[in-house]
Amino acid sequence: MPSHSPAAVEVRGVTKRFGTAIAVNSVSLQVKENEFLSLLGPSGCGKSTLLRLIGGFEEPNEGEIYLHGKSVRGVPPYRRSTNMIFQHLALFPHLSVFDNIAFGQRMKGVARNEIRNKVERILQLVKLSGYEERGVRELSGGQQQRIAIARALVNEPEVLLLDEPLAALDLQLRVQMQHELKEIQRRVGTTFIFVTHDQTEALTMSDRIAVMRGGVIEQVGAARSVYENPETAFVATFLGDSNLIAGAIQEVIGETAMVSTRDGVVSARNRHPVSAGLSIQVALRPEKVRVLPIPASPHNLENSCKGRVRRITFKGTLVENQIDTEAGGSLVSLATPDLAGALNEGDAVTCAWKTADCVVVTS
Amino acid sequence: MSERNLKRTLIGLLGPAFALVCGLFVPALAILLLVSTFNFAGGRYQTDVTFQAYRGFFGDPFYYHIIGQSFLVGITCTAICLLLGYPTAYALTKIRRPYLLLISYVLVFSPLLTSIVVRAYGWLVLLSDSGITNWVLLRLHIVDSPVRLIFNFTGVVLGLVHFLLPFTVFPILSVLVRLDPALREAAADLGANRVQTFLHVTAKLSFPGVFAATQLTFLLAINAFVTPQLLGGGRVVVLPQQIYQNITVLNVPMAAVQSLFLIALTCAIAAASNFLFSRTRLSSLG
Repeated sequence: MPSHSPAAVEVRGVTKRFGTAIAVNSVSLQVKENEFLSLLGPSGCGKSTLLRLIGGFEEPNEGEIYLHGKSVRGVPPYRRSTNMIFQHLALFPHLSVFDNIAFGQRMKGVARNEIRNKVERILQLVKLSGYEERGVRELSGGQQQRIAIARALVNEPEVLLLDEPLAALDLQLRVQMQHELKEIQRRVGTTFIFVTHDQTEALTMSDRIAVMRGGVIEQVGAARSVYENPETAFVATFLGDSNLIAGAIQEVIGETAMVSTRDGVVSARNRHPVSAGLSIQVALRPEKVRVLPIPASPHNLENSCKGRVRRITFKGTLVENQIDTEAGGSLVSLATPDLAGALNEGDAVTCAWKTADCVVVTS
Repeated sequence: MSERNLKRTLIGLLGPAFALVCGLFVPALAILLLVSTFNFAGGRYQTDVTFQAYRGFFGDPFYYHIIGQSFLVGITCTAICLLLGYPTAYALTKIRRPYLLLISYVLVFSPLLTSIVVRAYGWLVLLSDSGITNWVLLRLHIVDSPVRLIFNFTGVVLGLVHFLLPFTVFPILSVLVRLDPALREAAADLGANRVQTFLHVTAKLSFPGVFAATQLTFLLAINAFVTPQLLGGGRVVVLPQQIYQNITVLNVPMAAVQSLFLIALTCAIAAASNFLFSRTRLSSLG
């Protein structure tokens, strides 16, 4: 893609109010061609509303939405080049699988033969060939899911909007559908905007993640980069787990900040324009915390604090240690059983971690 | 719940209704059946079984005219009720403000709260030759002489539509409010404009409601007595009026035959339409 071509979707300063409640608060966002972008956030954060604004089911009170550079203000859903997969799928219960998928093409007045070919091809893509004449109510949850995807994709939308379509499925099926969706997206190369409250889902599927809270996008970026460099305490805890250590900036040296906490001075990565004395938090992923028995001394780990093991929880592939620090704080560590070592509850330990593994976040 | 408890509960719940039907309705029907076979002569009926009333009823073209009249009233009322009722039900699902919704519900369902007789006299006040409507029409010189709005087919249909409309609106409304709004959004998303969405989704999915409304409205219309009696002025005579008339002249066997015919007709129409309905539903499901 040449860099000057317009984004598949551009949201510019969009606000949507329902009565006095602000669902989406001056949000701006660009979604690139062929990108898989997730809108991640807790319920009520405005992610579904943002999706419905893009699909044309709601009109913004302020701001503008562009699809491939063209404003879609006042354009109804049936004239937009987007298609939506609804949370409860909204398959037509009175129509067969074939008629459900053919619906959009019939509305466009596509010739019968062509519709038949397209439906057959799309059913192959979702691995449900031969199901044409079935009623949609006879299908299992996963099959209905695929029909909903087929019904949208057969219209070759420029942007596919997905409103938590996997939320109703049980875990095993959900994981399977996540992979299938990602695979389908790679093959058809359509821009996907995927709304979810499930961080794992967002991390596994997306190229980029936009984390939303209270009608605002808190942070947007590549999945891995947002995970490794959360900017706010909310992002650090909503996208994966984090230990949050409260403290105040003591000194900033380049991209490292010295933070005074009750467990002593912690050195952490920092990208915020902060100055000494400012209250902030340090986010530390549990899997980055090494827990060592007292005689052992941490080497290559810049930060450490002493504590006692409160609880050890065996979680299968991982062991979780909850540590009470000497200063009265608490830390959670996650490690594979062999790395976690032979600790017992009540043992005195040293927790240690690298500067590179913790990051200053604002609230 | 154990099977025994279930049985007891069912007996407890269904028992009273079952006793009422078996103790009163079934014997009454049996008496009706018996009386229908009796002979009527000299202003009173004799208890000898002749089936004379059956021959009289099915052999007389006059009664075919009456049955035809009943059907005509039923079909006209049902058609008008559907034309008025569907948009009404649809509009009721679109009202968002709670107080407007309450007012609309009261307006639509208020006919159920007043007696049929009172309503019929209400129409008399409004529509008779010296009534308000004609007074206004005359005063405004729209007409030179009173227009006959009552004591004819128009009057009967008007009164019946007023009485039947809630029974048409309610089944349609109950289906429409249960329709998932996401289905309409999905249709719009797939390129259907408002009209297409209505035709391909809303109308088709509300068909069960329309069916129930049609059945109920029609059956109530052909069984109506008070409204045709009070607003028909003797010019529109339907089957229930004939039954009443025969009772007043003590021709009980004929009244019994006509009653049985009306009951059988009602059951037959209900059964036949249900059969057709389930067949179309099954075939649409493939």
